[in-house]
Amino acid sequence: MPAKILQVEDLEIKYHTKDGILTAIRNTSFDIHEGEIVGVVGESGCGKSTIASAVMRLLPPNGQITAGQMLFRGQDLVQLDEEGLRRLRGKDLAMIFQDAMTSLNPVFSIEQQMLDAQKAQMPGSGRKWQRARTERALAMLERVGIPDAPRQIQEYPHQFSGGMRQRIMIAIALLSNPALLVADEPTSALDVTLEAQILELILGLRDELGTAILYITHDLGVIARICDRLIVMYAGNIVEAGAVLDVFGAPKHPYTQALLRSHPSHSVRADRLRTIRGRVPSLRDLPAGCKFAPRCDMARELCHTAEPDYLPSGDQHVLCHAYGPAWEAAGPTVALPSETRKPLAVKAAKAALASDEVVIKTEQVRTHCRDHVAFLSQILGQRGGAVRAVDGVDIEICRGETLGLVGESGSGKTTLGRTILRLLDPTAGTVIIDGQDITHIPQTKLRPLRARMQMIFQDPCSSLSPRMKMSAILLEPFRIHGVPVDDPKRKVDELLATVGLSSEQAEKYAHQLSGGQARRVGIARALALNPDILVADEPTAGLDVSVAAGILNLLKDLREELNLAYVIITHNLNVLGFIADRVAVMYLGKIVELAETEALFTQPRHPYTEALLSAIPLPDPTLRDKRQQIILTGEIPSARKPPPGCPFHPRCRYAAARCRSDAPPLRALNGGRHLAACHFPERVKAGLSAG
Amino acid sequence: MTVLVLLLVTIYLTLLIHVVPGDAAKTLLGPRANADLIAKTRAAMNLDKPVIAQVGLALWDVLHGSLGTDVFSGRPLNEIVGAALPHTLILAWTSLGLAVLLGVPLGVYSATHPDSWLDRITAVISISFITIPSYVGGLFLLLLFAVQLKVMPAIGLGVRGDVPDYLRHLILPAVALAITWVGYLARLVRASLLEVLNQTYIRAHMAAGLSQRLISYKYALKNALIPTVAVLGIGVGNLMAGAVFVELIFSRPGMGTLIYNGIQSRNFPVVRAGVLVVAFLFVTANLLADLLYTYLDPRIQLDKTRG
Amino acid sequence: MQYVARPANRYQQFLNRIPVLGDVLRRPLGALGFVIVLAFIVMVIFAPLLTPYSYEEQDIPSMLQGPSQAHWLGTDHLGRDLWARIVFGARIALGVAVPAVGIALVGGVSLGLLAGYLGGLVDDVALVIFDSLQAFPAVILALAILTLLGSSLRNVIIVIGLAWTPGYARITRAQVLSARQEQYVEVERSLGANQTRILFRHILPNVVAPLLILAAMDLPVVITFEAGLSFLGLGVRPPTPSWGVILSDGFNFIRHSPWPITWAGLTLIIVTLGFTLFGETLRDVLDPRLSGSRGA
Repeated sequence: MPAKILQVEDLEIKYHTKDGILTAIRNTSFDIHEGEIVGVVGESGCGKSTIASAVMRLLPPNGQITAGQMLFRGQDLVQLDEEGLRRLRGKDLAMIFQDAMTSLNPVFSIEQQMLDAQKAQMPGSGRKWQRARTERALAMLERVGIPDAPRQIQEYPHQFSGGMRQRIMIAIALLSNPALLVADEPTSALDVTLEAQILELILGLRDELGTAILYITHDLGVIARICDRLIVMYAGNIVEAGAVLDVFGAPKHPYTQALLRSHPSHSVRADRLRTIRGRVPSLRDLPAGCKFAPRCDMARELCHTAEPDYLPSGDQHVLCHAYGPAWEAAGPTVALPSETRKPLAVKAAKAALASDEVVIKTEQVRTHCRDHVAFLSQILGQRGGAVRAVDGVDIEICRGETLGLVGESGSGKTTLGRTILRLLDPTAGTVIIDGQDITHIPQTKLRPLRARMQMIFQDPCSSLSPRMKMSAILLEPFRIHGVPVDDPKRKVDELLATVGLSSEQAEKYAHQLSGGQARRVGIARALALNPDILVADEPTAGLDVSVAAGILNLLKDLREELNLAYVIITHNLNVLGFIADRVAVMYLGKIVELAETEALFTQPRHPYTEALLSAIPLPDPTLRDKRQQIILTGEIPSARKPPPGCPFHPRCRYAAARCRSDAPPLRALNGGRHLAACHFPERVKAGLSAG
Repeated sequence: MTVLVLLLVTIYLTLLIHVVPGDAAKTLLGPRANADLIAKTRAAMNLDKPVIAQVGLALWDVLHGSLGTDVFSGRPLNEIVGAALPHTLILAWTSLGLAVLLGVPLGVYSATHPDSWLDRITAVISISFITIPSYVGGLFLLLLFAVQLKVMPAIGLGVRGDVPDYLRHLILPAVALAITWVGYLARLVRASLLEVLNQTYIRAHMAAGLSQRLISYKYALKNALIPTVAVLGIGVGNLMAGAVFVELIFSRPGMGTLIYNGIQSRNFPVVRAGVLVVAFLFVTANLLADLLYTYLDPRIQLDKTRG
Repeated sequence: MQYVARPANRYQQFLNRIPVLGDVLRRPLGALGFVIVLAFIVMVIFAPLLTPYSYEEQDIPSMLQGPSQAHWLGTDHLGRDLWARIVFGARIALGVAVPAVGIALVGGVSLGLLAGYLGGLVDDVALVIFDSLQAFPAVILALAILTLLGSSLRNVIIVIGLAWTPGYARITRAQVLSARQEQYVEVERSLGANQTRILFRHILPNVVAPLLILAAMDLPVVITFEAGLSFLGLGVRPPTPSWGVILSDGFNFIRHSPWPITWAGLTLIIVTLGFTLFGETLRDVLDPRLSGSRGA
């Protein structure tokens, strides 16, 4: 049994805020052993980031460790003074952060930052020391995969791509071979294929250097992929902890169970996703007794009044009365109010419309965004470049059908969505809505059409005007189109009810709503004028898993009740598995594969799709050995200068000479409805099984 | 861009003369001038030519580096301005130097020891200094040191060729100009440094075990200096405005007195020449600040269209 | 760092009830600023009631005296009461500052809106014009223009307004540009709103608010500027008692009496200080993100 290097006991952390003193972490205890990767997972506000900061003793000035101890190789980090901590940091303790761009000092070269980081631990001036440090830095950069390290080390952070910056950050952290690395959501902001690369890098480094890692994330799939043990947090407490295989195989705490159930992994072709009723409690307003009780299906009287103890149960530890001694005598389950929403009466007129009528059609549409060049510069001959965001796309969507657009950054999926709605003007090609060519209609004439095609925007908070109340926001569409409303208050309540919100939300401002609620208001606004088409831009981005599940259920219900055509834009294939009929995979402005969802997942026909499917972290640790990992090399090229021939060929494992010169068209395979843009679709291996 | 701006300025100034009611030459010469002299002066000032030609001539002169001729003395304005300019420049740069030497360290100390008693005192002093305009400061200094206490000279440049005396005469005016800037710089440096210290990369430096001193004085400061430098570039312009007042108060010859006297005697060519040179210096200072900015911040590329 | 929660006394409880202003008064510097601004406004409104003398009443035999029973702050070189001249000077100060800032606001905001929203050539041209107007310090610009137009209260207001306009226009333009990027603008377009509606109903309110705060904080700057112009003899005409004129007169007689300079200078400094403290505290209260070292 490897030695324990970190032993946290009864940790309590409080923050001093405008609203008083809040307890962010309470009674928390866990251990980390040498060389093991311990994951900390939880939804927003659970305190996982606080734990990461606390271990490094880098809490913000208004945070304070008020109780407990953290023994790092025998030394209590809580009691250690600033100088002692400084000696440990960088040498035995290291940390990497979420956003590499803001974690690297923008005005110093990589070399400077790496050398200074070592100087703190390897003090000594003189050429010999300098050279030793430089050599070590170069070796580390090469190990993490930075090509041409001796030249690159003199560059500045902004000159590297996102993935490279992440690698550099990891290199700096591991320079002195620390015993413990604290990783605060290091891959959450990365594209899926890039995330897969970084995760593999981290695993490899752990195997080589024996570093223990405390890995903070909200993504259960990532935990399943790389962690040995895991800790589940809720409202500042650890609710369950144990080996990853045990917890995923047999979750004990109701919250863990609910969390796993609401994950929309594609292998579950269910009718509805399971959600967790209610919301995560705010730290200001924690319930008495067990913090999860108000949302728990198994809760009994006891759970609402007394806090449970953190007890071992089998190989795990659980914070739940159900595994404690007093459970039998605790009485019956307390029934919780149900939260279902009244389904809309299906409008007869809508249902009657033919379901195979094509409502959206594009033909070779291209949207190129030119850089803005100042007038004076234009006179002097300067011309800007263009980003070929959408580069020749053909799609057809029928009424009642849902098309998923999936791709990573730079794929053009968001631009395509906006082009379909004429929020951006296409540079070439045509867009046809309901049989009408809208490509060149002037914006003013488009207005009546706009009522029929709406968008649900990605960021709920900034898409709601900050100075308007929800009721005003919901009535905007009517005012803009001059549609008279007899009873505004009733209309607003009606719209809110459609998306499952109570009428008391009507008088609130955007910043007073939660992320999920703001999303729902956005959906309600889009539905106000009875559209036929909805384009949803990343409908679940930034939402906790259980909240996202609720939104997806809502979207599915609405589609059926209103017979809407959907275009769902996302980078998360899991979401599409649940809600999309067909999926289009985009890469550098082109569609590389288009097929029915089931078919795409079981047998993809494009190497990029294959890699995407392989890279998605699924919450099933047993897949670690079974699933063959396909890790793409390199990063997505810039959309300003796409590679010649097939845009994917530089990263494709099946590429041949032909791929470099000949761009493959998107064509049907075997005359069916499965389209792929590849010269060798038969080389792609089977995807994930549907079981 | 710079060139364009300067040309525009020249055009403005030439056109301005025509906004004035009355005959510019007559105003210049006063009520006792005779018609002949007026006519000659008008010719010398090019006022007898059509407006377009005047503008054209003015631009032509500027592009050739000539500021025209003073109608009173007949001397080329280049000479007159050339005599006055160095004193103003010395004054401006000395003040700037003083302000930077005092203000920046104060700001850095405040930011690294927030809410300490020194921080609070510095805050009070900075804010008070900011509110003291250069002319009030100059008057007070003059009053206190020169008139009441009689420890400092009140007037002029000092004995010609005597450097220590020149410096003695420089102290009060330079301090007067610098006061406002010390306060402003201290506040500015404090604010930008505090903002920088909140950034994630500072946390990353701390996580890497770098010492607080190294982080504050090297890594954070360089980032914080960037907005400071930008402000300094603009500041030079304000310094020159302040110089007008200070030169007047301490009776120092310089661009300020030149322009002021020109205005009092309605001597437009002098005013125009003076203002043009000041504008040029201002724009140059901004350009220098931009260059410094580029040097400090590797993310910015120098815009190729800058003239 | 120790955190000690102080129990709120009755005064603090009273303050808690007043929105915004209460928060300003809670901070000592903000309270000081408020008191000064209040005193200033009292001076402006009640000027005639605060002194028995008029600001132009000359009394040559009593010239250049120091503070005394008869003349609280002393007299100037024409025997005029200094306290009276300073009190009425407050009216000049505000009477110039407010209209000037008003003109600059109206002009600047309109131009900035146009440049920011229309973009393209209009924007490029506007930028060049702003740059050229800001190519020299405001004082020099004012000097040049006032010489030609002659100095009077009205002209001073116009010149200051003109000098401040490009600054406000630039800021408005920047605000419009960033507001345009906000997602709710795109949302409005997707709903079918036309440009004017978006501009006036959504962008303008978000843009105007920070600008108003800025304008309020510019008041002391303008007051100082006007005094400076008057000091040079290019501001208001005598006997109007602008503080700058008092300073200028005092300068001419500096060897005979320090009092005009002392009082006028101190008044300028204190009033500027008051406005600045009040304005900065107000801004900190309204946007807690900017308050620096203070915690969440």
